Amino acid sequence: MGQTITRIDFSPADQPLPREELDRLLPMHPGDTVTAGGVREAIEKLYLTGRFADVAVEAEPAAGGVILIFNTEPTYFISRVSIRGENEPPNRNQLTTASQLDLGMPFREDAVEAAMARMQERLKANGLFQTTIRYHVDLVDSTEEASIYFDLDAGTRAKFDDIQMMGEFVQSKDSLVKKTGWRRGLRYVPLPGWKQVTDNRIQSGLENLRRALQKDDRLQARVTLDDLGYDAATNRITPQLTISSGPVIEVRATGGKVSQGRLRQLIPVFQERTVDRGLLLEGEANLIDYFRSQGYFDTTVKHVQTQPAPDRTLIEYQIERGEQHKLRGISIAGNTYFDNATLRERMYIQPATLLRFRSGRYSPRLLEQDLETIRALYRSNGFRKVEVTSKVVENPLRHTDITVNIQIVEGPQWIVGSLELAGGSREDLRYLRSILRSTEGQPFSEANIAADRDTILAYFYNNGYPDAGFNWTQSDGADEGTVDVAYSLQTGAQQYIRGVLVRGLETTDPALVLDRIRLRDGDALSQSQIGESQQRLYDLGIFARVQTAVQNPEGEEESKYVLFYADEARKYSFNFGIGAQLARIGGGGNTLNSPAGSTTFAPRVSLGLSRINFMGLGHTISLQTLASTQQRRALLNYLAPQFKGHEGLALSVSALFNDSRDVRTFAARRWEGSVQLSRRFSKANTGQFRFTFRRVTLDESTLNISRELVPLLSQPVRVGLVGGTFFRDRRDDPVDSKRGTYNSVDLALASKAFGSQTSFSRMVLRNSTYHPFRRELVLARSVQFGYIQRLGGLAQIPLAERFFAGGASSQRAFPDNQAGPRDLRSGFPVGGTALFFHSTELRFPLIGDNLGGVLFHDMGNVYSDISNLSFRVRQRNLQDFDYMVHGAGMGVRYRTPVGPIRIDLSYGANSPRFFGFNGTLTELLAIPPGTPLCQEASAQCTNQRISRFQFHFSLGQTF
Amino acid sequence: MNLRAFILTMPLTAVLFTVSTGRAETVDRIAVSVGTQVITENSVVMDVRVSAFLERVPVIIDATTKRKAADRLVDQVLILREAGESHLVLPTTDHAVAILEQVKAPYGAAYQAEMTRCGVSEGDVIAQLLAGLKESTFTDLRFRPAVQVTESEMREYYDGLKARQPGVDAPDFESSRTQIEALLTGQRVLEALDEWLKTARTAARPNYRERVFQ
Repeated sequence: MGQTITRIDFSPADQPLPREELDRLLPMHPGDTVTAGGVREAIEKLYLTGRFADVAVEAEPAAGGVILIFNTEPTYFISRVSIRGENEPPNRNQLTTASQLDLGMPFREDAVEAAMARMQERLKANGLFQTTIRYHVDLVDSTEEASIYFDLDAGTRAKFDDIQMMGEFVQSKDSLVKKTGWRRGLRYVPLPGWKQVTDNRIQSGLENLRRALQKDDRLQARVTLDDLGYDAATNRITPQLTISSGPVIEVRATGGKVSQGRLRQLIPVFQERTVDRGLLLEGEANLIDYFRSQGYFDTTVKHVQTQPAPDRTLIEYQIERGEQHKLRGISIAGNTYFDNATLRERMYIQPATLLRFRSGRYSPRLLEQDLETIRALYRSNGFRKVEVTSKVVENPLRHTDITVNIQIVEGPQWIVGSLELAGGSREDLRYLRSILRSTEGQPFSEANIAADRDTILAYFYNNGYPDAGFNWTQSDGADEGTVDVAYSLQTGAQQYIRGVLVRGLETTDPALVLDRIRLRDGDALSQSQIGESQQRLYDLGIFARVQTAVQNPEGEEESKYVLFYADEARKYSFNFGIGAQLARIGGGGNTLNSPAGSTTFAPRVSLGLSRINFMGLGHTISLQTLASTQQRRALLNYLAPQFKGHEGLALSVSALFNDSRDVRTFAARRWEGSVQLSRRFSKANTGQFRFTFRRVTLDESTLNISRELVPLLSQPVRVGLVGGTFFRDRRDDPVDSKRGTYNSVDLALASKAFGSQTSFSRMVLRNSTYHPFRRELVLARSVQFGYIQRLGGLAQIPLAERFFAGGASSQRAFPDNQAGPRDLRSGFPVGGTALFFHSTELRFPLIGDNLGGVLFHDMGNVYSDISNLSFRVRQRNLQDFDYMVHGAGMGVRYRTPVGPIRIDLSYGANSPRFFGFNGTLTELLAIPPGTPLCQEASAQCTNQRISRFQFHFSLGQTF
Repeated sequence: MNLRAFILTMPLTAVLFTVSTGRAETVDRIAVSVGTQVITENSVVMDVRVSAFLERVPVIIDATTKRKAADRLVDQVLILREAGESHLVLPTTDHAVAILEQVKAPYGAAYQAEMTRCGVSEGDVIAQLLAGLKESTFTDLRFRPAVQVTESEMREYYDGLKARQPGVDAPDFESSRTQIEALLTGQRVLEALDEWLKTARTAARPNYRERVFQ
């Protein structure tokens, strides 16, 4: 003490922080006196930066005092945890998780030792008792990174050997051993020996055992694994289990009808597998709620627990349902700030309806929840003293009918008189004031304050202030009914990006990744920008996992590295599918006797191979093939997402071979190449621009029926097409839309200039709107108009380019693709050059929350030419197909996670009649080539009609 | 120069005196780190000294006593960190000064001499008392509310005690109830604290610099 510091040195001279920053951090400087407290504080401050693993201070004599020397060791942060040599299970990710070595955290040698111990535990749980783990660490001084590499020698996985069972159980040991599934065997055929040990196998074996023991209502049966019983000499385990069967527990409901399955849902004893008073009372409450939701609003339930035998417990729920009521109506009074519709849409109780809620949805608990919801809504809008009460009124003429009257006393609305913001820069405060809810004149509520707090903290966190804090106070405002609010913001120190490190890439072009990371050195450390960059990397579709970490997140240094660790996904993926198509196909290869369509069965096999991250560029090349009795198809596609670094831009180049036996492109072989550029302009707007070149030829070898069946196909056609599509999608849910609009415009031009043999233009417009009303009803409508104009070349628009429509997604009065003009002799559809469809649907809930109904009306047709487009409803003769077909019907929708399953039944009163072939394939083949088909009426060629009733089954809403 | 300043500077002066002989000597260094916080070797040594003073035992500074002191300080860091995050109201220096008077009493006239013997100042003693008070308050606020002692447990304890001392004329259960309840509650609170510290230590992974404890 008393010694003066003449100089402060750091050893080594090359320090992780600049000298100026070190000087700024130290509480002592040359000329100051050395104190113990000062030295300790200096050590604490240096360590707090997170850049030093160790600090020791030495003093060395010098003229006029001492030289203080800070001996430091830099800290490294974990930037990679690599595991090699694993034998799954456990897989690499499970081992990494077990290691608890988090990216970004400071590296410590002892943490690696602990990580290995945890990994060994995980390995042993999977039967890998002989695994040896070696590790080495690469330290990179320039970026302070520590890459940890674990090399595993997995050894041989142990096998089960036997099972030791202790405790009491009624089943035989052999039967219980069989339940574990640990012995080898093919389902019902036992094989000698035991299986290998995996954690999953152990857990599932125990669970199976538990289930087996719990049969016969032994709900409290327990199985515990005491020890794995590993024998190193044989590398086998003999698990030691303690089993307790427990008593038979019978749960019974009397006085009301409850199925056993429902009882298992409602009584938590079944799920928790234990019996205690709390669970039994919960079961009572659930039963009461269940019966009240059925309209038995006066239901009471009590349980009685008895023990009729030493090994048997009987739990009887005694139900008194009372009379079944109906909630006839809900009235709300006293509300002026919110209208009834606003309040009702937040309520759960529901008056009785014809189908969905036959007794209504009501229980005192649900009512109280709804009242609390209304109170919360008012409070969040400044009505701090709102009172919401209810009265349940019986109908004097029919006492089982009740009405709920809700009375609201809103009270005064409290308004924010003034908002004071303190802390943060002037620019920050100005911006924050523009986005906060509790500004002058706005309703005052604690919910709004909480939202403001979240907004403010998110703003600061995203601008490099990880320690930002928020406090608020309120006081009475100058005017009555006003509250003055003061927000106090503590920003803490701002942190910046020292550098961006990308690790884990093996074949990916680093430029591709860096281009997606929009963080630059010196930027404020923003969690949201890190998250957005991570999302952009995921959007490339080439990484199985992208981890992000900030160097030493708890450290207080001013600037930190941001790490992106990308695990590349497997390059190749392969898919194989086998199945069958069962559909009502208009005159398929197997259904030549039904030009109006019949149910067709077509077995199919598909095979696909894709290679992602082609050449490390993030592009995907894929081949998808399909073979069925109806079709042979191969599609080769090259996709470049985020083309040239533009997020919303994607380029795809594809080549297609399609050999279809569908009659409308009858035995047609299609070779097609296309280039498409798609651009997402905004969340709602998307554009696609494409050039397509295709050649459709007739495969003579497969033409085993008369050419005259489809004379238009007798010419091979080459088409070069330039086109574009624009979508504007403002629907709330594309799969099951309830509100919003959808518009699309599709334009295409085929011209000799593009290599086309024939020239034409094509336009398809669609507009759909969805209007919710009366809470759960949706009125949806869609109109579609299409037009093809021949511009030159062939005399007719080639069959493959024509419009074919009708069916589940356009006009439900027709089977699929059966609308429009037909071959006048064979009766098969030949497509048209104009189409117009209009559909209207009323969508409504039917039963419960998942089953809905639809009433619909479809009108429209495919027309031979735009000049023949007509709203006429009568068919003039058997050659007239240019009229408006109407179909009306109903359908049901069952909600699933992938969209509603749809069944529609349509009745088309004016479905088309036509003349056509009605024989079998053999009869058709018997007709000599060149003989005109169905020139005259015969037993094989008759007048027919598209069935008035059509049935459609598919997935997703119609539009 | 007052006593506190003298005692505080004594070790440093010794180091600096050594330094004047020409060799660089370690003034202080990190002994343990807990997250972003550090406990320096001087803090550990000071804890050994103050403990020796409070327990009236010789000052022994070796690897064992330093390790024990470091463990205590790590617990202290964890508790104070948790207390700070929980926004608990903890005792202040005034409370510690009040306790100091009770500590002084047994020493009588030897108080200053004892401090000199142990190499501590009154400020160091107050600091350690304050840390102890804070730990005790935290323990009470955090764990006591959750501890419940049932009637049967108290009865069992009483019966056990009575059985172990058969000849003693013990008071009846009812008149011992309050004492037994306080005793069992205290035990449970300490058990809860130990359990919590175990978990907190595992999570915090304190890093001991072994060279300091050799």
